[in-house]
Amino acid sequence: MTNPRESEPFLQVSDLSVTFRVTGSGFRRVPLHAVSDVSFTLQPGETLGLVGESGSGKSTTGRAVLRLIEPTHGSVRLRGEELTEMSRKELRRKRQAMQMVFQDPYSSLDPSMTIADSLAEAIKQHEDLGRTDVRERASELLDEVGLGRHHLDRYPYEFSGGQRQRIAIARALAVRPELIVCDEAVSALDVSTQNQIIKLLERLQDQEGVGYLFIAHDLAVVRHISDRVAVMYLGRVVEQGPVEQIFERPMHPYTNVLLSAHPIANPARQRGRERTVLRGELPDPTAPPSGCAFRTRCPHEFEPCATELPDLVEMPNGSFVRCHLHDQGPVLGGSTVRVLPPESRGDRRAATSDETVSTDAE
Amino acid sequence: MTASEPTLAGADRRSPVLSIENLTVELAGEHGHVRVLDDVNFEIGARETLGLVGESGSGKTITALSVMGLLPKSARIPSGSIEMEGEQIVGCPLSDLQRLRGSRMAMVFQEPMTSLNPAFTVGDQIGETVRRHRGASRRAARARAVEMLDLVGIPNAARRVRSYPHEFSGGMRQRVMMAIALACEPALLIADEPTTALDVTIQAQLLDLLRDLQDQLDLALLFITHDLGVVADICDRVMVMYAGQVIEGADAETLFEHPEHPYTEGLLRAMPHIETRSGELFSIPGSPPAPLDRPPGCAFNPRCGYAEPTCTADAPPLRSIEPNHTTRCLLAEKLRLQGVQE
Ligand SMILES: Nc1ncnc2c1ncn2[C@@H]1O[C@H](COP(=O)(O)OP(=O)(O)OP(=O)(O)O)[C@@H](O)[C@H]1O
Ligand SMILES: Nc1ncnc2c1ncn2[C@@H]1O[C@H](COP(=O)(O)OP(=O)(O)OP(=O)(O)O)[C@@H](O)[C@H]1O
Ligand SMILES: [Mg+2]
Ligand SMILES: [Mg+2]
Repeated sequence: MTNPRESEPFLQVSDLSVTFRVTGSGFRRVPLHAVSDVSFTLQPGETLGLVGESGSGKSTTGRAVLRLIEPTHGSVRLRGEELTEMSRKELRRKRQAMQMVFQDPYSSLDPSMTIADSLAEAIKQHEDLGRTDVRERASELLDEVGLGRHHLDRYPYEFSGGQRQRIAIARALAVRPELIVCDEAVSALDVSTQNQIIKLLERLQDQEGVGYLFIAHDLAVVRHISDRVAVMYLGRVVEQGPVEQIFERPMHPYTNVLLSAHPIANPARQRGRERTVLRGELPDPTAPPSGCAFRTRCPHEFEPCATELPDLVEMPNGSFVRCHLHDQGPVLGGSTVRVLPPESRGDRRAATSDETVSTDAE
Repeated sequence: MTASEPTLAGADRRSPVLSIENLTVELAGEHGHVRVLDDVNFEIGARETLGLVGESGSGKTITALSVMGLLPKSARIPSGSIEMEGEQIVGCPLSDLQRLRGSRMAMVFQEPMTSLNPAFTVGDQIGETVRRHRGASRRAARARAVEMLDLVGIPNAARRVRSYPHEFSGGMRQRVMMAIALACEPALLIADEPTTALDVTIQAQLLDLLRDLQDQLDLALLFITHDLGVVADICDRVMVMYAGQVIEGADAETLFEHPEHPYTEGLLRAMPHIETRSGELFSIPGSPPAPLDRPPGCAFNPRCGYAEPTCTADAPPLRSIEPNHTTRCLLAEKLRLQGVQE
């Protein structure tokens, strides 16, 4: 999309890390590196999709960007202002510009407040309106997320899961933020309602330049809504790039596995399909594998993977990838991992330089 | 059970694990009682997986909660029967429900944080059901907790049993719920959106686990989900709900290829595809009716592109259009609805 070097981006996240202390063996506290050195930028009106394994640090990244969790390390700049150094008071003012729709909507809505009150509270943060106007605005918001005004005086527990999710979205939109972290924000909706919400988000983006950090496991939705996509595995970004590159020319073996494991919504085709299974056990985040964290499950592991952590390297197509298949050899050097046979463990000569050239030339 | 109900080859027809007849549920609202379930009928046999899909707010979770005897206090059941392995659930004493829950039937809830107790470790919470229903010792319960966590794919389970729910990611909490539900090897598992926070690889593992357990334990599975890819993968039969009613039911392949209700067609058409980035996403125009403002006739008619004057006359019943295929659409014979391509 926009060239990150052009000017100060709207949101710039650099080397963001979050470490938790968790119970280890024998009740000792041990560090868990939930997010390690995550960097990305976001321009106004842009959407960055964040995908990856369950437990890979997506929600933690989203929370740390808004400082709902204190980052252990790294910087988050919003329009050039460093958020990680702000006082609580300054931060509270800034929060208005940044909203999060949480993965678990029930816990983010005040159970003792009606929907009207909850929305009114948010609306008043942004606009100075009289009572009837606030109520009118609240019912407009409900309308936009596909819920009628007859819901205004009900309490959160009286709604279905997907209805609550839409209330959380309406509440986030009420303050007219510039940035919204959407954490599985449409995952509890039927596809028709989901599309309606996505169209609403896109319209706001066109009209008001809202930027989205869009965390989701539904890859079809991510493909549709994102300009760029970052793929996480065990706390690190393993691949990041323009949406079409990620989906058409995945460079990291984990990205490739994710794409090929996506179920097809057609029983005959889905059941007749060869299943991609990842070998090996899920690694323990408190004791991640040495070198590349994905190597224990990677079909293409070779000798440097266990000893050296690969860098996130820029590829000719504009993607960044963290994988030795691209920087040691050079073997793949920027072509998609799809040129490799599915199981080529230890054989990094599987792709010839001819293939590399031909895929790049596309 | 009516003869029009879809059946499944392989499922034990003589004694379904769960059988629901004419279930109607009303919830108290500001303006009196509101009907949220209207004449729901279905059964599930051992080893069978029934998918429940449909519009957000259409009554899927309420259906599940009715079976578990966990409806909100404001609820009443004016009519209907729910039989779990032959035992009537509607109106049965709490002690019977408590015996059944956890041991014979279990549920994975849509929002895990609301049903996990933040004050106890996940190991305690898994172990608790095993101790209560099986009289297991503390030590055996702990061992079972580790085994179950491992089974649902939580790395280093022996250590993670001592974690609290807030220390887990969203998808890990969903798997903890699954571990609790399966710990006592129930005959019926109701899973309400159990994979919304799982990446596709872990989701595939979990679905494989459920299939294995089905073979081992003859598990009957009621699978509520919006993910039509998951439905295509695991469900034998599918029921589609709209505004508190089942509007279509068929085996999975038939439903995807030859839908017989315009709402189902709209749902299939709205599915985003991973292979291409479609220009405009489709959504069914309008929104579902307010419970107190239901249109006359078919509940879907104001949003239906095929509606005719007859559609606003009488409320259409669920009827058989073909063997094992039911629909509430009056015009089904006339319409040629689109299923998924290829
Ligand atoms: N408050 C906490 N205390 C300790 N550990 C935590 C805490 N929150 C998260 N973690 C751990 O940090 C890691 C990343 O969690 P996070 O919630 O960011 O994952 P995620 O990518 O959002 O996963 P999911 O897709 O399942 O929601 C996990 O291993 C999790 O157990
Ligand atoms: N405790 C309650 N009191 C009053 N109404 C309720 C209550 N719980 C749910 N409802 C209403 O009942 C209807 C059915 O809700 P249900 O939770 O079964 O929907 P669902 O099909 O599971 O939707 P989703 O896909 O969004 O989870 C909804 O319109 C909802 O607003
Ligand atoms: Mg998460
Ligand atoms: Mg629900």
